Amino acid sequence: MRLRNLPVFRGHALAGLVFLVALLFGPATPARAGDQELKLRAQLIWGTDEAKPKEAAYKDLEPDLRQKLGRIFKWKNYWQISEQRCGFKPGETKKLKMSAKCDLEVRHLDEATIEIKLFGEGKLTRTVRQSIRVLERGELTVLAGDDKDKHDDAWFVVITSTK
Amino acid sequence: MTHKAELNLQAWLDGELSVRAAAEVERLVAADPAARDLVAELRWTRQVLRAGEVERPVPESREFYWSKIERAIRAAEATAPAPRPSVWWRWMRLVVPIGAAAALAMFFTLPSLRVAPSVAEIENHLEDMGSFSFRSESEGMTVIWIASD
Repeated sequence: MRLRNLPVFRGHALAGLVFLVALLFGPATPARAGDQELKLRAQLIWGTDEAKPKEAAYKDLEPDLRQKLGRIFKWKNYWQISEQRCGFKPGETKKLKMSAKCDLEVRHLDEATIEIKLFGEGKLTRTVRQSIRVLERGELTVLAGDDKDKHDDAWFVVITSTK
Repeated sequence: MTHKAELNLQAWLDGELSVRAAAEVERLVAADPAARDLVAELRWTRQVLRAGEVERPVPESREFYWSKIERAIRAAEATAPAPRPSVWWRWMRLVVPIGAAAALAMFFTLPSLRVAPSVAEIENHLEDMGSFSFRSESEGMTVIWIASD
């Protein structure tokens, strides 16, 4: 049987050729280079309706992030308590100390996924797996919760890709 | 008189009501002049329809009549020339498969077109802390809110 007589090619030779090329070479194309370092930024943020304490060395958030949080959450003010920037090679795990009570363990699981472990006062509370593509697209992954020590305040850990 | 009462009156005249419901309608007719008028009008209408409807006998049986129509349709379909595909249709036959194949090729070859899952996968390690997640498409943000009890 001649190749051009196959139903997939009959009358649509060009379409069939493109389809075949896609099938042969498409799946082999990786989502991102396997050994590419992933650069992440983690910010610990305090959300409150109160003014910034005078003695505290909290940083103002960049306006873009402050507006994003303000459009979703109810608090008037968001102060950055700490920030960590780190690069992760595939398979690499790093611990990030965000505060005396808050730690992160970030692992570059595979070419498509990172795993974020959140520790509160030394106890593992959550493990979150997030798509690297989502982060590289500029999206934010936010772990957040009520502030146990201060009624009606909240904490946020914002993970972003810095590329 | 309510619409339901009017419907009951019609059903009563058609003999569709139960004994109990029919007794209620009879009481209504006896007490309500409007109901009596409606009953009279309905009876008159029924009588006129029965007496005045023109009988139209069909020379053939019902089945034969419809089979004639069916045969005529089939004969017309058999003799009608097949419509020539329009230029637009011929173009579509070429463009649609090429477009579909090109889209498929781009999907496989351009990783950025593959939609990555946006909602993070979450594991809970402390039972006394519940959590929920939500995603804001407009803000490009996935939030995992950890609520302590």
